Amino acid sequence: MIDVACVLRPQLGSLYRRAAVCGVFLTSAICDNWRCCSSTSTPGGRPCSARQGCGSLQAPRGTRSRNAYLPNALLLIHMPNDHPPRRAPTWSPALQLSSPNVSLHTAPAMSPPRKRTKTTHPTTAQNPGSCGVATIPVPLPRRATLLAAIARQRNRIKLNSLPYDILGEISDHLHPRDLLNLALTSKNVARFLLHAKQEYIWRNARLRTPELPGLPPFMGERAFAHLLYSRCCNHKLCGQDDAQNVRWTWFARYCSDCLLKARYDGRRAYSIYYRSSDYLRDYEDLHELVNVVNPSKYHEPFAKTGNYVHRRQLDEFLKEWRAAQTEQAQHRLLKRQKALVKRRERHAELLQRWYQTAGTVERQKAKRLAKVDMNIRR
Amino acid sequence: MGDSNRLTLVASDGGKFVVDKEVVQMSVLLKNMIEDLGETDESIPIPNVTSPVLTKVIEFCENHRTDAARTDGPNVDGDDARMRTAVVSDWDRQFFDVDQDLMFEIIVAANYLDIKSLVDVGCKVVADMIKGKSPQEIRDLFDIVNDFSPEEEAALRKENEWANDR
Repeated sequence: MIDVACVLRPQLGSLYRRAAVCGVFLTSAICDNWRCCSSTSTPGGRPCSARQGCGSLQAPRGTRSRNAYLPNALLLIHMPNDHPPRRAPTWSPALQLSSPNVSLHTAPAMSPPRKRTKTTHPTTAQNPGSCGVATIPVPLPRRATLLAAIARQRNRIKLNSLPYDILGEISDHLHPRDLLNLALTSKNVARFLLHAKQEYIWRNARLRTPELPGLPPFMGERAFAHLLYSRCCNHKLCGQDDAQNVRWTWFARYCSDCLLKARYDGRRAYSIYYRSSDYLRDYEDLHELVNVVNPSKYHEPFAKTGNYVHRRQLDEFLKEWRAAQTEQAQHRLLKRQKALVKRRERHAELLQRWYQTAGTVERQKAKRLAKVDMNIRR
Repeated sequence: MGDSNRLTLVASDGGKFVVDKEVVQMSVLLKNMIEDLGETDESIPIPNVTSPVLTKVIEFCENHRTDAARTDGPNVDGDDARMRTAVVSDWDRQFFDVDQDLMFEIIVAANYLDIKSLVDVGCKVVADMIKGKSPQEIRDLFDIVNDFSPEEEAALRKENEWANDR
């Protein structure tokens, strides 16, 4: 329910109208064709008790429009047909209206009529002692009521302003894909769901989905859910929402354009590798230190001969290698890296299998959601 | 007054509700309060809950008063909270068939009064509303304003934001 309340003040011969619609104030809006009652009697014949008139909003004689013209806006007050008029037959006395009856339009070009038309108003004819205008009684200014309405609007409880414990309870019933979508709705929800303390929500969501493969030990719960269900390109400079190319051995998802930037072809990878260190070049096989992608397996676009290497993985490894100063540290790093590569291969196989079976349904759902989002944005 | 099995609850707007003690005791907060106060004729004020919300909460408690006796046993929820699979009954779904403001107010009031079953049912209903929807559909459904800047939203959609612990 949205109240429209008007406060009228006679000032310099004009009426200043202050309307609150949905808590938005229109201040100092001059309403030229409407007048405030300044006589000592009302159309009903009763004496006006207020000092400066009865305080009611009045329209000049013959005005049949139901619009109040304001300098920058047009406040349309649609009167319900079944509402019986109390004082004036052409004007409904109710000015406090519910939202479906009131609409606000900008109408800068419209100007109020300057001349009054000389017509006898039915009300005045029936009430000779009246001030001669049709009257819409306006409730007296009630600042407290307006402020209360605004406060109510502000204090409305919404999904994103729920206490965190309730948000946690709601999240505890959701699928990882729904958690992902919920986290993208607003800052407050994202702050809550992406906080490290809320890792358990993501873990519970994954465990409630039995068809999902286990969490790889080198990934977080949220990153895993993002890899499985988000369709956003993982490249840092891209934000495309429809990234189809998932490279499970790299645990990354790229759009077709970014995939070309995110990989090294075999020749390039080896050239970087050979330049990195004499020791690496002479004693270690590149295939054991990074996960390679076989183009025939993945139908790599623009594939040349040889395998492909994830650029980020190779760069990160070489950075760590350069940082390892002592021989012992280098040996530890090599051991850890080889184990990691094997583990990634193993988990990638599981994910690949999931993607080909249960993932098909997920792909369809994700595609539908992406389509809906795209349509809404348009 | 005088009936030791009935209590008067006073809502934040002054509305008074006379209810059975058995019904009131579904709320852990009120149950503890009654135990602390002992036998008394005084009404219990509930400052954070308005009359319309309290009416609904009492309606739920009266309908589920028999369930309360059943759930008094040892740890019905089980240790594994993630495996909660109970389906929302038709009555509960009908009960929450109200406008969203009231629905969230009921859940918040139930959380304040510590009525676990009501919080659980409310959260399930909201979760069902979220399921299968895109971020924009969720925003539209719950009248949520997208307060992300385009850059923030783009960054959030990328992998790095999800990998880093905050």
